[in-house]
Formats: sequence, structure tokens, C-alpha cells
Amino acid sequence: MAAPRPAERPRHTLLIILAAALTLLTLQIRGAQPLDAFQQGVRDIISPVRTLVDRGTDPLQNAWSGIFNYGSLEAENERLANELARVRGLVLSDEGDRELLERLLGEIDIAYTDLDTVIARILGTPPGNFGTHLIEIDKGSDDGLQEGQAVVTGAGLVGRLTQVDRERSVVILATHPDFSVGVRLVESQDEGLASGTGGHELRIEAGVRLDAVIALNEVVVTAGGRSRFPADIPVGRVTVPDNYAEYERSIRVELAASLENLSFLNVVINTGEDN
Amino acid sequence: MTTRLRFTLILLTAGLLQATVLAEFRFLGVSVELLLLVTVLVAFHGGPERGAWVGLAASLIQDALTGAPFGIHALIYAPLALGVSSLEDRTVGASSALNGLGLALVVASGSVLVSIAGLLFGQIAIPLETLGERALVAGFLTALIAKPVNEVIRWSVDGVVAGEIELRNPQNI
Repeated sequence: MAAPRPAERPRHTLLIILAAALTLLTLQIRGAQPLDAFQQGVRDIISPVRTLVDRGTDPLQNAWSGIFNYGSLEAENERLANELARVRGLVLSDEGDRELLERLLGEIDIAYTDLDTVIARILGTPPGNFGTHLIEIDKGSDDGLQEGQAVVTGAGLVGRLTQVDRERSVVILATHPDFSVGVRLVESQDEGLASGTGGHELRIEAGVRLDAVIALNEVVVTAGGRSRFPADIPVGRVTVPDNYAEYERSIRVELAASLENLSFLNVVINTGEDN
Repeated sequence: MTTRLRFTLILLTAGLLQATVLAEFRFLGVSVELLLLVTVLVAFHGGPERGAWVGLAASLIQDALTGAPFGIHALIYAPLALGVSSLEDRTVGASSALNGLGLALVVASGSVLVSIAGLLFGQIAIPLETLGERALVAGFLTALIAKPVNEVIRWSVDGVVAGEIELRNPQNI
């Protein structure tokens, strides 16, 4: 049985709490620095404990994922075996594509591999249940990372930093519905805005001319310019060019970088402005 | 130890567990909603006012841990605490399984409502097609650990551990 309670005015209390919550929410959405700093401070304090627990529970985590993710590991294994077979079959045609890509990249003076990057290890998903398409990495502002910096692998763009603490950061993946990036189609030289769809691909819905002829498998790279991302980072290939759109184009792009089973990432520490 | 001190201790411990152990052990990508569980149980045992205040504190801790803007969880946790507190008298005599099911549904509802609040304020982008599934998994996972947490919350509300209560034996009177 519950303890005797004092005379309660729950409705008044609720109103006060809701008013306080809305005030805090408004302040933070408007960019109140002290609140952001406080949140970051709390996460920085907890960060060493999280690292310690993460290391201490590694064997248990492996056992846990062995028990509960066995099915998905088997499916992933099968998928990778099929992918390997497909890739082996495509090696020859890929060589031809590579030559074409290198020629095109050479023509537009792309220096993607020369970018200054910080290598970061993926720690997992950040706390909370509803932050999908987000991953946490083990580098933060102490390593020179800043919000908005591009995150890549050797294959191309993965996402950008959305929350940077001292020792950890959160990456918003390119497939996140809130992610968008200015891109250029290498052959047609058209530029547009690509956005995440929440699925496994990006969609270009703004910027590209209705009459532009886009080829299937055309290479898409970051546009640079006023973007916070350096120019010419490979994004992916066009899978649906939508050449016959009458009103608005919706070009679908398959990401060059695989976002599954990543272990390490590169954070590009020089911005588009530096380039 | 005062009630406020006990609540503070419990909330800090719950926040730490939520950010560390519980974040590591996920089922289908979903983890236990410990801070929401604490809010619900405090409201259930301690009444609407305590529930609402603890809900506010728990939600601010949750915001700090997840990087969500301050206040977004409070918009749901506090009203949820008020709603749950009214259930205490109505669930007297209910079986543990029924209580567990009810708790799972309350936690799942809370999770869905937080996501909807996030969407309304443009702060959380989640695939809606998996929202219900993820919320239900979170609800049932949370219900699995509810029993030990319930004992701790009863201690924090009443100041006694379950085993310490001695009933008067009519034969000794």
C-alpha cells in the first residue's frame, strides 16, 4: 500500500511542469548555448564510465549478440557470400567502369584521397530507442572533431557528425531522413540536393533540370561550393534516373559505401571552405 | 534517508544504467526504458504529484543522455505519471501477469508518444513503419526487469523494504 500522501494538486503541478518543459524546449530549439553545454557536460562526465562498462562487458555483449543475433548473422553471412560471387563476376566490367571514373575524376581534378581525416572506431548506437540511422564513434572534440564534418569510408560518403562530445560523437548516416547533401552528377554535371529516405538509398528531388539526361549508374559526388562538405567525395551511383518525369524529378542513388557492418570510419576534418 | 535523497539516488543510478549497461544489451536493436519505468512505478506507488516531479527529473536525465532537446520527454513522462497514478486503486488484486502486461503497454505508449512529440517538434526522425514494433519490444523488455525495480521504488516511496513489514498475527492478540 502506498504511503499516506499530502494534499495533492496534481493538475497544478502538471501545468507547471509542462510550462517548464515547453520553456526549456523553446530555448534549446532556439539554440540556447548553456543548455547545450550542460547536456554535453553530462555526457562527458558519463563517457569514461560508459567506456569502462563497454570494455568490461565485451565478452557478455559478444555472447548476447551470438544468442539474439544468430539469425541475422547467418543471413548476413549468406548475403556476403552472394555479394562476393556477384562482385567476382563483375570485376571485369568494374575495371572498365573504374577507368571511366578515374578519367572523369581526373578531368574535374578530384582529390578525394588527399583529405585530412581522423580514423574513428564505431561504438554502437547511442542511448535511446528511437534514434535510428545514428551511430556513435569513439572520437570527439578532443581529437579535433566538430559538428557537421563529413564522415566517409574508403568507398565514399557515410554521413556527418551531428553531436560532438569530448570523447565521443554521434554520426547521422546518409540514409537518415534528416540528412541532406549537395551533390553533382559526374557525367551530366548537373547539381542537386540529395536526401536520406530512411531506407537504404538517397533521393535527389531538387536542383536537377527536368530535361537533363541522367545515365543509369552515373557516378554521384558531393558538390562542395557553399556546402560544409568538401567537394568530390563519392556518394554513390544512380539506380533510378527518372528521365521521363514531367513535373518533378526523383532520382534514386545507391550509396557507394555500405552502411552495414562498419567497424571504422574516417571523419574529414577539413571543410568545404578549406578546399 | 529522506525520500528526496532516495529518489535522487535512484534516478542517478537509473540514468547511469540506461546510458551504460542497458544501452549495450539490446534486443532487436531496442533497449530497456529504465527511466520511464522508474517514472511509472513512482507514480503508481507514490501518487500523481511525486510521479510528475520524478517524471520531470527522469525526462531531463533522458534528454541529456540521448541528446534530445531538454523538455521533450517531460511533455510525455509527467502526464503519463498522472495517468498511471490513478490506476493504483483499480489494479488491487490484479495478477502479476496482468500488471506486467499493463506496464508493458504503458511503457510502449510512452515511447510512442515521445516519438510523436519529437516528430511534432522536428527533433526526432524515425521510420514510422517500425515505431509500433520498437515501442512494443521496449515495453515488454522493460516489463521483464520491472519486479526488482518495483521493490526499489517501493522502498524509495515507503522507506521500508518489502520483507520488513510485520503483520499482526490474530492468534497473538
